[in-house]
Amino acid sequence: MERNAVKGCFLLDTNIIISEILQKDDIRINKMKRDADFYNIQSYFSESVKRECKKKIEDTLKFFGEVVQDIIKRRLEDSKRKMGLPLSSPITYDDIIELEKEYSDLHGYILKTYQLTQPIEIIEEWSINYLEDILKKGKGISIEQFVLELVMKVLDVGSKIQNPYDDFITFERSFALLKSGLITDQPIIDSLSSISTHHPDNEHIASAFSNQTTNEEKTIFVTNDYSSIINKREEIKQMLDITCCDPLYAIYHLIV
Amino acid sequence: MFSPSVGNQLTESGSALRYGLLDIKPIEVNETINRFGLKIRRTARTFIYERPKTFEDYISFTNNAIFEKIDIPERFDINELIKLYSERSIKNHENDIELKQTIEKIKKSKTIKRPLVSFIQFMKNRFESRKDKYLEFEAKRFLNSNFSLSLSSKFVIFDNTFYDYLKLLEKIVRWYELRASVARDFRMYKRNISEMKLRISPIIDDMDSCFFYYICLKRYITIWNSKDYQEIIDGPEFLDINKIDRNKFEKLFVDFEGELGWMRESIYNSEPSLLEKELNVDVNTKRMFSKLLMVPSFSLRNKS
Repeated sequence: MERNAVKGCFLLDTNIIISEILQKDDIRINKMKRDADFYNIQSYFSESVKRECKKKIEDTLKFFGEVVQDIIKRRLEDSKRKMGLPLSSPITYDDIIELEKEYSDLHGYILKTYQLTQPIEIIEEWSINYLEDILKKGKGISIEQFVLELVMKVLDVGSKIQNPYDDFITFERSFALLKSGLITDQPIIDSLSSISTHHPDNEHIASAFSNQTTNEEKTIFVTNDYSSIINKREEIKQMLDITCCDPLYAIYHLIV
Repeated sequence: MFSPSVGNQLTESGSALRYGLLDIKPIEVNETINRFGLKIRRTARTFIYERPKTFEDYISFTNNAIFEKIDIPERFDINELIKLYSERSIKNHENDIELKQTIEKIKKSKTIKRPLVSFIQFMKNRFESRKDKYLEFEAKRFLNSNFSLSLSSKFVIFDNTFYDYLKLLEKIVRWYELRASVARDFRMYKRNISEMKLRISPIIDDMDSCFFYYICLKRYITIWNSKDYQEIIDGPEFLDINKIDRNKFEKLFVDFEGELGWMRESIYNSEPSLLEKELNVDVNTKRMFSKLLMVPSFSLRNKS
């Protein structure tokens, strides 16, 4: 493929940027970066993606905090009360079984309401493994100390993530630049909603459409969100002439 | 329930930096020393404090400004609050023997090779040794509240930013003080110190402004959750978001977040290497957090 036979740009979805901020060293994204470098293709992210990245970190912290307060802490304290033990007494395997019941009830409830159980499961796996590591060492730990340690660990990650976030998004020191000034039309957003594209994904794709039409630059919307975006790529292409694809294949859509 | 807030300790540290690094004037002092039985006349270069401003002046001024910015419940009197917070800060300062000794050392800086760097290093090392305590404090405060964890996270980001700010000041002060120490005459020496002050002054101003909004937000939450003055001093047992006006809280939060963003830009544009991109954190926690960040946003908003 000739270098000058490739023209256009990439507009990145939130999950691509989050993956980079987390330094996940994703094989597919790395290939896209190498391709972009070799063919001199610029990668961008929109204002809507910038907003979503920030919101996603905040929502994740909020969600984690609620699970610790409303599920882990509450259920462990209930367990102690049920057994007539002081709240300061060390956590035992009986308390873990009480937590199991809570999580099990919660799974059932979430499934009934057609929501995803995955976020709760992620915290469940991590917190139970962490507790087991402590108990295996023969160390006693109170509920207060246990939840404090969980929160401290997450606060540490949640705050330190601000540095790679700023590096990528605020200072634009990575491979992608902010494309500001893209005007998204409400009718375009509405038409994407009509094919069940979630908010703010519809806004991101509308930004790609705005860039392609306003700047007359072929724009590939790069994402690894199969369930909400890539699975609807044909409908989106037909509707807006915007290609949505996996980073592994992004470059091939820019061949002139 | 709560130990004195981190915010209060930081206010004093912030003021101390202004006091210790900006309000200085280089002077030459002639002295006679006795060496190997010989009387030698030598000229030492040192600093005096330029303005008669005291630590108390700074604290009082800051507290007045804070209470002009935040609303307080009717059960409190604004002047009483200013007095309460000022007295507490002054008391904390008076009990801070370590800091006072360090400032005294600067005043007698003839005996220290790099008095200004020594001072900033003291501030940085002290902050570093307390960083874990600050993190624990924010975690405890979250667990005794119904506020979002993202608020606590912002406060921890502030602490991390403050630490980088101290590192930046250390780097600048070290450079200028080294240049001053090898200056061929007093005129050049004075010039180097002036240049240093010119360079660090806007950075200290930015941090003071960021501090101001940080303290406003923390104090707003504390005061509206306290039933009397004693509870303000001790710290409320529980921080209830329902006791505060959401709109006013939101406004203070946006102000603080804006100032924090501005401060971070100022620091990392001045010294990009301070922005540590590697996530040096617990591996399992990072993995868990990464997985959570990758799930669809809507699934995080629907916890039962």
